[in-house]
Amino acid sequence: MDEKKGIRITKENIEFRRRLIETPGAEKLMRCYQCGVCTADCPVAMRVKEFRPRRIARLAAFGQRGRLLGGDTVWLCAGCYTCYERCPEQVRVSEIVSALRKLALKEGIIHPTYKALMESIAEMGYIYEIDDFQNEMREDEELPPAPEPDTEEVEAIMRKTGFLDLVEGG
Amino acid sequence: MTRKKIASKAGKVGSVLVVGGGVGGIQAALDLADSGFKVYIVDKSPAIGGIMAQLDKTFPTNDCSMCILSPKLVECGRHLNIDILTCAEVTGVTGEAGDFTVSVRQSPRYIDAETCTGCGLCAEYCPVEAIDSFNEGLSERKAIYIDYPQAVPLIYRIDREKCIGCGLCRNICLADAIVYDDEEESVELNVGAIILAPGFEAFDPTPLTGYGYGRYPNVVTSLEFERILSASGPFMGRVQRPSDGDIPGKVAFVQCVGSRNDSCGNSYCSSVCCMYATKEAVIAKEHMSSIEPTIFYMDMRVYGKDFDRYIERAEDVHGIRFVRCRVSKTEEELETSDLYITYTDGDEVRRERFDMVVLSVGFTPSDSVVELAERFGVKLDEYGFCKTQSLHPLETSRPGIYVCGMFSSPKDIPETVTQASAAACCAGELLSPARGTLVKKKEYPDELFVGGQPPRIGVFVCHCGINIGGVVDVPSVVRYAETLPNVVCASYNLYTCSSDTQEKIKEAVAGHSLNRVVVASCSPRTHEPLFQETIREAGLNRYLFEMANIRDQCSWVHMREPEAATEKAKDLVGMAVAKARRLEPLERPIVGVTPRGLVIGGGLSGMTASLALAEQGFEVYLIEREKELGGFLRKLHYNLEGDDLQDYLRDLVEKVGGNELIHIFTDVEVEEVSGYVGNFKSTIAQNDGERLKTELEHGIIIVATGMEEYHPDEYLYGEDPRVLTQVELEVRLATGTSEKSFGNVVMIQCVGSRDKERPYCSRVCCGEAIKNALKIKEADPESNVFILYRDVRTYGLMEEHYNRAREAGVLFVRYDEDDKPKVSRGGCENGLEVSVFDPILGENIVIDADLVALSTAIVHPEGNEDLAKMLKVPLNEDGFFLEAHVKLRPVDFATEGVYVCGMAHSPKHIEESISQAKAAVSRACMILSKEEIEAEGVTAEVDTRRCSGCGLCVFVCPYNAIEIDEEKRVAVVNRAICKGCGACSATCRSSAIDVMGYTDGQVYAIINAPVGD
Repeated sequence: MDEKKGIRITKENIEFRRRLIETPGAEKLMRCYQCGVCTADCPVAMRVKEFRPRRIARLAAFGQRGRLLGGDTVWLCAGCYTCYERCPEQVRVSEIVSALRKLALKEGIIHPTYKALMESIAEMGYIYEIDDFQNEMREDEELPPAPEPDTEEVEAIMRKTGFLDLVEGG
Repeated sequence: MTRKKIASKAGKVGSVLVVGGGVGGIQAALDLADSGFKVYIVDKSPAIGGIMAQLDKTFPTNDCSMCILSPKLVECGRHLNIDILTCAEVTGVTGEAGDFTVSVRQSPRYIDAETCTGCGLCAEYCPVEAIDSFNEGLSERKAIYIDYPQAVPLIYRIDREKCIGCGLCRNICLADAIVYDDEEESVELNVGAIILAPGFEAFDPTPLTGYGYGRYPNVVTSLEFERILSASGPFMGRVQRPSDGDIPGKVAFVQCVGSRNDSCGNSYCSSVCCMYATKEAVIAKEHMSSIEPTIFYMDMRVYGKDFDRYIERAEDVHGIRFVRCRVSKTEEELETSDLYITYTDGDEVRRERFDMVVLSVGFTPSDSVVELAERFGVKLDEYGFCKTQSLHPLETSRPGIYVCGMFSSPKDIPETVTQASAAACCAGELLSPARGTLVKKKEYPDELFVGGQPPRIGVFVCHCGINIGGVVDVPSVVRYAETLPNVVCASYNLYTCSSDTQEKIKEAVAGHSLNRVVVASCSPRTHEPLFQETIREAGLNRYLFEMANIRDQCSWVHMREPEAATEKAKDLVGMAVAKARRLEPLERPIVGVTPRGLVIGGGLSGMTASLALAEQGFEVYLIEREKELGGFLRKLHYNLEGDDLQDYLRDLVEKVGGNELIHIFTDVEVEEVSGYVGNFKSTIAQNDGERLKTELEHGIIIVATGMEEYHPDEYLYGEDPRVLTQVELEVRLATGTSEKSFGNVVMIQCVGSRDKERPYCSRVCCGEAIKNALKIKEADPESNVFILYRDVRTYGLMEEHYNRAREAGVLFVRYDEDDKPKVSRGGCENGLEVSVFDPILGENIVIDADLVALSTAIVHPEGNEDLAKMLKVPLNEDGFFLEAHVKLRPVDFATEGVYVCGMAHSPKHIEESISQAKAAVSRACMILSKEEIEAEGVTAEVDTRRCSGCGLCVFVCPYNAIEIDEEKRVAVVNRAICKGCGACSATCRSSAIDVMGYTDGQVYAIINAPVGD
């Protein structure tokens, strides 16, 4: 560890950045000139102090694997794509977040909330339980009741795609 | 109408076509027309003036845009050798460099240009209202209109799309100038060269829907805001919200709208918005002190001469708030039409209410440029800017066709003016054998003899829109003037400087047999020559004229006391009339011109200037302090565009050396300069011990003394061999054995620039760092380059290279002046550590550096001060030469016949130095191309009966214009050198020297007027 306070840029950092840039969606990371639009317009950033898209792009440019993949940061993005839309340099921060999640998953890192959601899909076919209350609402909108999912098939798909291994291993 | 082929013996035609009548086109036209060429200006608008005519004030001097442009408009309009074709477009070009045939289509004005007097009666009666595009759609005009009162030519035009054909204008027009069945006309011009100066369009922010432009009334563009600020704008200079007319409190300026935006296709920087937004903020606050402006920006790109000081003043003195964050959207509150902006301040996300939002829109080449380029057969770049080569910034892809101004890249007014002169120089070089073949000489009527006649004075008082009329009660000043003795007529004019008023003055001189004229308006500095020319055309000696400045001295400074301002205006007019009574005709000495130039400095600028002068057909003395030519360029090897600079240098030295008109003196210094415009004498001395002297005679001087690199005593420079300057790094990259591995390279910007000692930006360092960073990444993709900067100032199309550098993986980290990066030894593997605080993360970044490159400041060379004294020209606070006017006379000195170019003027890139060198030559050719020139008539005169020959005047004269005639023991003034400053007159103990036009009698008359004789 560094004795001095601060981020020391190491070969590993640069290597992580290279891996990230090679991940589809994060190709234009380095175009970022830190203008701040992504953060100013982000609906999550407005409410959650810990979530700052510009910070993510900056940490990514410095290859800060540990800070990006550990903790909640990359899992807080709601995927609304506002930053994608507004970024003048087409850096696509939302896609960089997705790319970071992919790298995290490859390393077996998954956020507990996401893990719970996955489990719920494997178990019920839905991310949350469909009960009478939900179906009554559907009825009000003249929709048929939610179909009973074939949980075996869902599980088979998740198994085959390796998703379940991730959830179980994570 | 067709014109005959008029090629000279050399097969070259002595005329030039200038496309576009903005400030660039105007400057190019004036330069050429004053150096022996016939000029045609073709503009698609009904009047020349371009965008500059729409601007309120200009940075960094806050000069009124129209006030400084208008004299040039008028000069163009009345120039004997400039033909202005308005409402016109070029439809085709055939031929080649030296002999082009150009077809021009002129759309109908529906007004007879010959008979229209521009009186404006038609517009008063026209019942149709149309949107006024000159005011950016914020007000209305009539279907018969002129864009603005100072328009040149001052001819109305009927907007046939709006005209209902009611016939009122035809019935009302006293000149019978309305031609409803006017038709399109075709003209063919034969010209030797073409200069393209079509300008640009402001970016239309409508497609960027987030800003709400077009939907929210209080979101306006910067150009609209410029009109709102203007005294002649839609609200007469009252800053108000379009939604309800209220004076806004908080005003947000949003930068980079349509610039630095890859998503909308404009990834370049528009170069001028940081400065103009700050200017608009300052002026808005000056208009209404309650306004609180905030500027949202990314990088403060204020790279020009004295720009950083302007920003500092804006912040510290005017209280303008700057927030570093790009803004992409505004939200409107429906009930109030207030606007909300969300931005990040550090890590905080804030939402703030504003009364008004100004979008600082960037510039795009206009839609029609693709067509224009096709018609002229010139190539465009990917954005639609005219394609040029970096080392040939004025040449298009077609020989004989040159470009200047915004059409080749975004740039500000001084740079446009510089390029315009430079393009004129290129045309002059091409056509020099045909110089003087197609020009006419101005013939004045004989001067009326006024000796012994009682004074008959005409007084003309100017409204200047609301500039004067809004404060001073102009009609009452006129009534007062009428009561003064010897005043035979007095009247007021909306704009005394407009063409129609010049005619009115001439008519008054004839009609009332005036023999003295007084104008009460603005500053004689800008407008006196114009009015003097007018009365000369009317047959009066030009010194039978007096001016009262009731704008600067009354309406501006006493804005809040209109009654007192009016009284003072009356006093000033009374004083001017008192002096006018005693005015006598003065004679202007005619002096010959030595058709040779002296260029001081043999670097890039000096050599470029010498070569251009020689190409224009003039002999040149090129003097260089060092043993060989080349200057600082000898240390530079390549540029951002990839040109081989050493190749270019070798070629240049060869051309200069091989040109028989150029006489090179190396290893010499200027020792003494005497003489005056057209007739300088210089003594140069060898640098060696003997100091062998040579005397040179020449008509003009071009100063091109260049720059030096600052060598710092910080960041371990000089202590650790791994710490270099950026230039040293470049030499190593270009000449060192091909290094394979660079490891971690850290570049630190603004070393010695933008600090307390040198508060200016060295302008080239951002580009130079990126250039070397790219070179390193090219040689070793595995290397890591960090650029530690304060603002990335890659203005204009240079932004592309900043983008390229980021894509290549170069990491940019911003630092603040009060928290500089730290370079230290020890503590890491390499033993060279750089630490810098990253403001985005709020943490230190620590780098084990293998190499540290310092982007050090550009400083003025030693000896500038001595040279400035010798030439009697000023330096600015930073030791660079100070030009006559930073906006419109960027290469001239106030001292006639002396010019400046290159780094001697201020730090700049190579292509900018090339442009400036050529611009200086263009200006010099206005002198050198004449056999004789007229000197100033206001000079000192010695009363030999009183003079005791004491010599005090010789001692105080700053121009060395006085000598003592030893035989007669009296002082003798050289009228060709004397500038009429009056130092001698003030010093003379026996009142033996008077300055003509400012005699004791005249001055006492002025002083006594307000108190009564």
